[in-house]
Amino acid sequence: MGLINVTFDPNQRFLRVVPGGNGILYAIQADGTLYWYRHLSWQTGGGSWANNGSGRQIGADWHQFTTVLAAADGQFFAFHADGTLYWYQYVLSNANTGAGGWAAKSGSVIGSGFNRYVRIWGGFDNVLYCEDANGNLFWYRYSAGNGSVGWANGGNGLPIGTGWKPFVEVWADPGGVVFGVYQTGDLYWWRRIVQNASTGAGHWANNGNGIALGSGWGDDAQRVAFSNTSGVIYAINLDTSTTPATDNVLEWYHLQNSQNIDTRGVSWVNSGNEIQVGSGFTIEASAALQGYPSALSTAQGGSVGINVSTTFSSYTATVVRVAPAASGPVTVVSPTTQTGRFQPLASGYRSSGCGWSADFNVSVGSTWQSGIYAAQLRSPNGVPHDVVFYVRPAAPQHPIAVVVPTNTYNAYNNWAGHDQYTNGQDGVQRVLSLQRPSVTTSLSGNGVINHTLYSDLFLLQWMTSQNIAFDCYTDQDLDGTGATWLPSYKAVVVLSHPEYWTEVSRQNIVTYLGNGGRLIDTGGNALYERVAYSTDRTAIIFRTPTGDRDVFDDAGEPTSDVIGVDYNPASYMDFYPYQVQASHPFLNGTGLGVGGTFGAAAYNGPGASGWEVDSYAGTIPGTVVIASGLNPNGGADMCKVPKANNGWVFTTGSIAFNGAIPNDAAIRQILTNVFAAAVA
Amino acid sequence: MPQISRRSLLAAAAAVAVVARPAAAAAAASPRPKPHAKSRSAVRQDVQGEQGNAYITVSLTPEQDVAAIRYMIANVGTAPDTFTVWYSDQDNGRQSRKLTYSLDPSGLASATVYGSINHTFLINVCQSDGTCFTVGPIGPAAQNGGPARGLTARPNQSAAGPNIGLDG
Repeated sequence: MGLINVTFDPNQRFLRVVPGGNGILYAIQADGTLYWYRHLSWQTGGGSWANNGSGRQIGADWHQFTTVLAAADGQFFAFHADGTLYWYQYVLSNANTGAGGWAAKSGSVIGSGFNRYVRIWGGFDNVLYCEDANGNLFWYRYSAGNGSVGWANGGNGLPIGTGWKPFVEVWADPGGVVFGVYQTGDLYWWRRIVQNASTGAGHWANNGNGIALGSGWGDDAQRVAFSNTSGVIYAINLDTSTTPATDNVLEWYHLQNSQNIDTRGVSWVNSGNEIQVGSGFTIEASAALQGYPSALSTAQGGSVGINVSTTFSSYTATVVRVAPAASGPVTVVSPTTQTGRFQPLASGYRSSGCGWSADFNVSVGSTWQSGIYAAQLRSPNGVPHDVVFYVRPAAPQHPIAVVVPTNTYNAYNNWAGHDQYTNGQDGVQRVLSLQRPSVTTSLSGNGVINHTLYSDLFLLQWMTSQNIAFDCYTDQDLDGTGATWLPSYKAVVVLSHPEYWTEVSRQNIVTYLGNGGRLIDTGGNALYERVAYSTDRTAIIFRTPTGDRDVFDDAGEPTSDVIGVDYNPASYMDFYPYQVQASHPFLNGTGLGVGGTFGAAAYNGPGASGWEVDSYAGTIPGTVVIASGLNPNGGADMCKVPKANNGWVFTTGSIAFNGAIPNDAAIRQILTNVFAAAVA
Repeated sequence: MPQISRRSLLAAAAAVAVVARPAAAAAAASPRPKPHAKSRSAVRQDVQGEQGNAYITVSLTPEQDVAAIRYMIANVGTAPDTFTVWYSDQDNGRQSRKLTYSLDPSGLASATVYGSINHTFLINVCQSDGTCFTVGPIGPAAQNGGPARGLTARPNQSAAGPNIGLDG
């Protein structure tokens, strides 16, 4: 493999760090250079490193892979985006210096079709854990071990588990040990005991019940975490300064008896507190190819710049319409080849923006449908990055307006490590630029539960399939110009997690409802927290000046004043079906009567009432609670809330609701009835 | 009457394997990769209390749009007992659902319940004989000075590397 020019930003030097066992770490630099490090005191948490901590360059062009895993004997499992699996082996001649060479068959193709899986982890013992889009887990073991094609179980994935989507991070140790970080930040342990290495047959220790190891893990505290044999876990810590500095500190943990904590108990070295063992490990998975739009929304007939930084010499760009679309994206501009260029991050990039200039511009046709669009960027070997932008109508065209919760997308966008929720930044407001790449606008499922764009597409695709036309706006449009266009619409739709609103946006909706408008709220934790835009409107300002969460209810503006329901935190991450509470025309055609249940399956969990739910506050006379989630601590309340001048609000009260649309005919029928009534 | 010490209780908590469905489970054992964020200096993150056969330790941490209240309750008596635990939200008067635990001597149970961010809570504990006590407050309005257990341990290494700036 030949070398290319070294181009990377020191704040995002690595794409990923791959554990290689016994203290070895392989670090893939943004320009594709592969480095070998070895933490010599990996068993004790000391500060001794091979080569005094200087990485040994052992490869190049590794940024072409979308997933890279390793075993403890130098074998690599490297996946292209098309699902092709390549094998390499770095054979050490000196484990203290990293001297060695590549095995003869390195670069051999040993498998294909792995793009059917959305998340793959493991590598130790040549075992690959592959998760499909539904959260099902399959076991593979590369038995040849030498670059030839040879797999246990005939190369067929062995189903070994379900329900992995709530685990936001997963990794594996040898001996079948699997670690998973739950959405709440709790760390769990499993172990799969393989009794037949040829077939993979076996069973899970502890009957498959995860054993809780601790809390505080996940992306609010760390950039990444992974184990590296014998229960040694490394994490790259997030800086908690008031103005976050570079996230580069490598921390060490050691779970003792990691192979059998089910029988010997949980025991952490150093009481489970971190030990810093290194620094300089800045990481951003998209740093080889990433971009953002010059403006969040663009009117029909306008133009939007696509600002890209890449370490690839070229890439292709295809512009697609994501919504309205009944299923997958629709191509509106055929692929073009762009010359790649690396653009460094501007100072203060998290709050002030990356400062990149446009690689190319998208001319938005005057006949393009208002909706959600993306410039789909692809490296020569298919490394993907999607730049999402929104096209608003030049003038209102349809009876329904959809307001995409772009404030929420930005609040949870932890690209570059920090968002509205990361630990630290005590006592100050958080300013998050919109001029940066996004990790919350993925167009496809990634094996993890979702409450942002991917979840919203369940509703928007269904609306399109039902010929329910809509105009599309962003949260920022609702704030900036909503007062002028809201009166033109019979109904306004908000999506899965419409959490963050400005005072102006809130008032615009209050006025709209007071004038007979209809609001269809298909989400949960709606209208919860107050934000503001920066003067130039390129950033969102979160929290109060003292750094506290700026909750509308705390400010004397309860959510229920507007939509009849309030956030119920007690049911966080519970998922249950709804049960009908009252007969209502919105239930027509569902066959449901009082006491009937629906919504038992959803993308995010085993129930459409869940993750975050809003419950009826009892404050608006005439409200009908049509159905309620069966969550033990209080479920989502599906309500029709009357407003002045024949206006009303329909609320589902649940983040998980939209994810149930493909699964549940009753939910689709209810939505059909609601939309028909809204435009009647 | 022999009782297990607080220290041994905490050690036992660190060793116990808590088996539960993920949403409700929480281990008293660390690790805490980093001290949980304090939204302000007066946030009191950990409280504990005891009365009769009950000993409870409680922590509060913000987690996205909720305040996560983790507690571990132990029977420090010599006979089996039943304990009921719930919180009272001091800002809006709401109470959480009451959860009941039947524990043998030295038995432990733990759970995570969720409340509103920015709010302050009292944790209520009742025993089978009807006696009750309250722990807290915990949350932004509580007084400063909570125990630092788990919050003060710092790296004890003067990390020598990797100095990866050498090879770039």
